Amino acid sequence: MTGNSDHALHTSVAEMTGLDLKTDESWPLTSSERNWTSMQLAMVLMVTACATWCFVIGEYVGYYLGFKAGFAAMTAGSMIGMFIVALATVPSATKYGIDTVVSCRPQFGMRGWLIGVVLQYISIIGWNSILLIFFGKSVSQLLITLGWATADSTGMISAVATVISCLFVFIVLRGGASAVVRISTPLFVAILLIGCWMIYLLLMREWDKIEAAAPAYASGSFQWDYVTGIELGIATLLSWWPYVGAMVRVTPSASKAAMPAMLGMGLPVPLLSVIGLAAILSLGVSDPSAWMIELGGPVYGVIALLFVIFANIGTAVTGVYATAIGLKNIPGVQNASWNTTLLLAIVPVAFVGLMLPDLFFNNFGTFLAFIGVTFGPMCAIQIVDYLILRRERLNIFALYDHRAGSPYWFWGGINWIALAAMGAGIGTYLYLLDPITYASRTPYEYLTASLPTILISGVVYLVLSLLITRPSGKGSY
Amino acid sequence: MDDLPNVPDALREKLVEIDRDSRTASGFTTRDWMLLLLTGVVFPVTLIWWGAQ
Repeated sequence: MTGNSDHALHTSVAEMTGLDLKTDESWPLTSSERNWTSMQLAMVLMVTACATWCFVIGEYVGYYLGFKAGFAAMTAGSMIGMFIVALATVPSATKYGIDTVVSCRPQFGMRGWLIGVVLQYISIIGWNSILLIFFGKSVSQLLITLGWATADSTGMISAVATVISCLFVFIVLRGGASAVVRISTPLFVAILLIGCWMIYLLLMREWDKIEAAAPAYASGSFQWDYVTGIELGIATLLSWWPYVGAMVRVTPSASKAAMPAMLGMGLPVPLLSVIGLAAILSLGVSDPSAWMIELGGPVYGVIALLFVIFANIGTAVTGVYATAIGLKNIPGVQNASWNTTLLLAIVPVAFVGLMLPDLFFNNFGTFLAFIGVTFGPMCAIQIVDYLILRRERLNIFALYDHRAGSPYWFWGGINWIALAAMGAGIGTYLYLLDPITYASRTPYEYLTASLPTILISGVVYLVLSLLITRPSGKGSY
Repeated sequence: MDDLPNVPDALREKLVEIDRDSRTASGFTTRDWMLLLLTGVVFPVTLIWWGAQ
């Protein structure tokens, strides 16, 4: 890694997470501070995106679809989802140097923007829980296979592993992220090499099984299953909304950030998810610690566990940072110590990992649906507001003006029109797809749930803004 | 607009600089839009068609 890129990565984590805890770290970046190249941005985005949640995503798609259709649906959905997130976050973040949650202020108001912080908090805690529970399961699977533990002790081993990983994350964050930043590139190289090797192993040795496999929970309607695969891809990438703005804002222009966002964050997820998809179809399990042992014995199992550690811990550290800095924006938490803020970000993850790991892990699809329900409307509102209504111009001073009556104050600090559009989008999603049971209504099987949700939210926001907000002189349009 | 109360001078200076620079900054260019549409719309739609065969 070059000195420049090391500095850039350090800046990235610091900016994204508030690691350095200097007041100015959370401020917008000036042109001279936005010095990342497209390649540097792509590398940071890829390191963040690559984690073993990809196996879980591949597993879920493999419940409904075979290999070819699953790969196509997952990849297409991911690219569509990233396209939407890029439109919502990249233009304002790169022009004004602001992160994603601050960019919510012109749409939701100087009080209403906290909805972005809350969504960020819930989603990143959810993703971190997935990562650390996956880690705990991998450890117990490996110990059982090696004969060092029995199946009865699975729950205990997973819980202990989850607690240890939470403690590790806490200790690393207390000590500083520079060490994590320095190992980002080696981690990425290790993930890439082992990941390619895993795909090679699966495809070369298990291709016949993969080709012949029938998805375990196929509905009987290929169209429904196919659209569900696309929906899972879209929802997954919508979840990058809280991360993207904080990273792309370090590039000097939208042009420098557009393709790295699409190819650096949109493409690696489905490519790595192929491992989970192929494994669930051929071997009935997506956890590489289980199927790698089946393919090559304990040595392969240890390599798989190392892969899980490499991929998950770094991403979990980054995620907890992002959550912590998001929390730092909340008035009641602003004066809390860094350790207390970290605990607010980590304790919920530990709670999920200890108290309800199976419940959470087995309802991953519902968690993804929650993301589709909330981040879809959020992106739609931001796209319509910034690209259409404001014609790509913000009042940068107003973003930091918390006085009553300031340009983005709206009504009592909240833009109720944005909340109405959000509500309309959520209602549309829930009508089309029940996040708990996955029961759907037409036209879900043609359009997915996220895309109509985004469309409805955007249209409602546009129409109500033109009819109510603008004529009333609110929002500095 | 730069008379914000309770805002540190350093932040105010930054906002003035960002505001000035943003007046000449451009968003997505036509080429960017073409690439975005290619990777975010055309490519996925093609994949969807291929996967359904």
